[in-house]
Amino acid sequence: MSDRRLILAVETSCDDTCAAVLTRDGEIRANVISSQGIHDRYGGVVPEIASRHHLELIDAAVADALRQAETSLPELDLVAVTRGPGLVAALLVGLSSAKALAAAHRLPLAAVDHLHGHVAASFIGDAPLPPPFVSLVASGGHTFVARVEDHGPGYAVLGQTLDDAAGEAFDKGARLLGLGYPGGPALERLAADGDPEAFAFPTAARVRGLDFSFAGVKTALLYAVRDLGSEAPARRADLAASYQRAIVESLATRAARALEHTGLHRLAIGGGVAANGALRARLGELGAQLDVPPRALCTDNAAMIASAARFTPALEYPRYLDLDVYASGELPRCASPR
Amino acid sequence: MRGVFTSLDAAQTEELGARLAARLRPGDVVLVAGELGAGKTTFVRGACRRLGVPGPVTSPTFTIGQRYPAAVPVGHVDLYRVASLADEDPDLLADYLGPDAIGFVEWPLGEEPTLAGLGRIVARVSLEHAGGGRRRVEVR
Amino acid sequence: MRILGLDTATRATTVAWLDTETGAAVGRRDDPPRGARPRHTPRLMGLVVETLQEAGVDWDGVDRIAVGVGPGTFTGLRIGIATARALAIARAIPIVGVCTLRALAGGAALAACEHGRAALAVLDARRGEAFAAGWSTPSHDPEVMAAASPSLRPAALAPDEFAAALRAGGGRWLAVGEGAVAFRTTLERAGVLVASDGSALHRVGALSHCRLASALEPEAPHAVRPAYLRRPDAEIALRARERDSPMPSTATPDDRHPR
Repeated sequence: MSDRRLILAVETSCDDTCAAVLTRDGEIRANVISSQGIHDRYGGVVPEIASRHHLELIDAAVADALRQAETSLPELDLVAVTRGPGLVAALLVGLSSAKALAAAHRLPLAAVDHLHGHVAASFIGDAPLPPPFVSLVASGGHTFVARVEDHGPGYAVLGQTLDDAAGEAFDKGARLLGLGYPGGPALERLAADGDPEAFAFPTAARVRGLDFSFAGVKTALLYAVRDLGSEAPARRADLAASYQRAIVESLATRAARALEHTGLHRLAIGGGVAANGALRARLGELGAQLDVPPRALCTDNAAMIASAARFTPALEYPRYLDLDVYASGELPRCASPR
Repeated sequence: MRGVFTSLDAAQTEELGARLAARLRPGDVVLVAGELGAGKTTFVRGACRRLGVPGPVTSPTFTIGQRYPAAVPVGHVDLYRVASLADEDPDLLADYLGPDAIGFVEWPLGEEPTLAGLGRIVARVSLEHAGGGRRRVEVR
Repeated sequence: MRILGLDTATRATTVAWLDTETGAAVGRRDDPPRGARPRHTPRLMGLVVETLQEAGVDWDGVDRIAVGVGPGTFTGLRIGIATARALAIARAIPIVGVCTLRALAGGAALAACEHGRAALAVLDARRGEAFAAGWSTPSHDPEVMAAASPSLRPAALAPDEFAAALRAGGGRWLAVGEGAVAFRTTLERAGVLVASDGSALHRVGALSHCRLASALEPEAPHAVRPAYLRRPDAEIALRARERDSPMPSTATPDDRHPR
């Protein structure tokens, strides 16, 4: 049944200032992403700079989203906002703004978990994926695999990283290879000309079950570069290809195990690392129905926050006025196979 | 615990962290330096286990910090992305470090004067690759 | 004119509503206990709602929003300004940014005049520095105070710079603000009179913002920006990011991508 009531969502957990308008039944009316585009120069997201830019961009992002959706605040049914995890000072800009927008019109507010948002990205778009499915989320700050039984807000985390996130492994590997930030696409481009079998980097095979580990492969890359010495620059493409392959294998192995463990046949991926072509290709070989949301829904965006908000209990005015953000929180784990 | 140690693998690096942690009190801060892949987070993980942190101890690079609940809460900060604390809000680390918590700071760089305002710096750990997967761990 | 004011530049969260015609005023504030963190995020919107309730008005009882733009804690400034701008946009209410130091000095104008002194507003900038600004002829009249140019321009100052600036200013000062308490020794050594520690003059109160805002021109919401007075230093930020790379950097501008 169609439900055209509108949700405005705001997301400022890292360095993209995002606002979106979604219908209650999941149609995307606007998905505005203001990339700050400045952090590349700094080799990473600098919290204070990101927060300053969020404040500069947030009102325009919201205005753009409302304009594209041809609506206005009083016509909304719900305001949604990312409460965490993320950079505290960055999250606070979005939360402050969203609380005030909602309170000004006595609208209800849904406080959304950013990671639930990545999972919920699969519920929208041109081909929404109905639960149950296995969700693999891999980004600069998070890496986990979950069994998604229903639309949420709960989902069962089967495994998560024990050290670095997959996107962080890409960024730090790129740094070791003298590439710029963000490292993912640069490393992927370089890898296209290399031999993925040239170096046998570890894929955390010793980590059993469904947890991830990327610290070992990072160290292995460092040693390989050192051992090669002056020969290293000539072998950069091979190093990149082999490094990428190890990360992709590590992710794919856990995704395969999760499918086997749950008996499910549908796999969704999300997070910035889902933009990696080698990962998409490798996951396509797993024999499951693979859902890869378009890139604008994989990376940080507010449409996914609105999507999650549809399945998050909303707080009525004025019960949300005292809401605060959180930087990190433990994932809702369930028993995983060992 | 002071001196220079050699660690042959991650388990030994964790054990060194645990040994250091045994003497820490609320308000103490440990600086953990070393290049990429040197085992900083591994060292902190060992310390956290000894301090009774049961859950994952992961790299805080993304959020700058984590705070783990335990008998004495443990703050785990990573300044890898922070170009200079002088540029940041003075409260950036206040969620993680403070008189009630035991703190670990990765990538402390030249931030010691600023960090000193957030706790007692009781140890400076430096990890280095020493060839063949070994690490040289110096605790000062 | 009925004005809603708020300020989150200091540890306090302060909100006020003023009807400049009737003089009716309502103020609400939250001061965290010593050593506790500020409660801007959990308290600000609640205080706004309580203030309007006590004033007996709804949003149509607000003709202007005044927000403190600092200087102050970076995060606090963003919370206040993001909130104020969003309220202004959502209800189409004109907005004006008010310098927190000017509001503080304006609140101390009567006391300064009594002592025959200039008003010096000082906030704790942390890391051993103070945010300070001074007005040689402070006035309780908002028209005058809003237009007065500071004889000591707002700046972040280390104690020695501060002392030098005060000497250069040459005036006899009455210092107010949490920073005046924190830097009492430095200030008194420079001949500055500092109000007693418990004095209400030291507290930033949004009613001062309301008064000043009645004499200021509204701005476009996006023009209301924090007065950080400290800038992330790009040069420092860009220093030796290759420190851990064993290879020369080949970063290109299009190496851009999501995480």
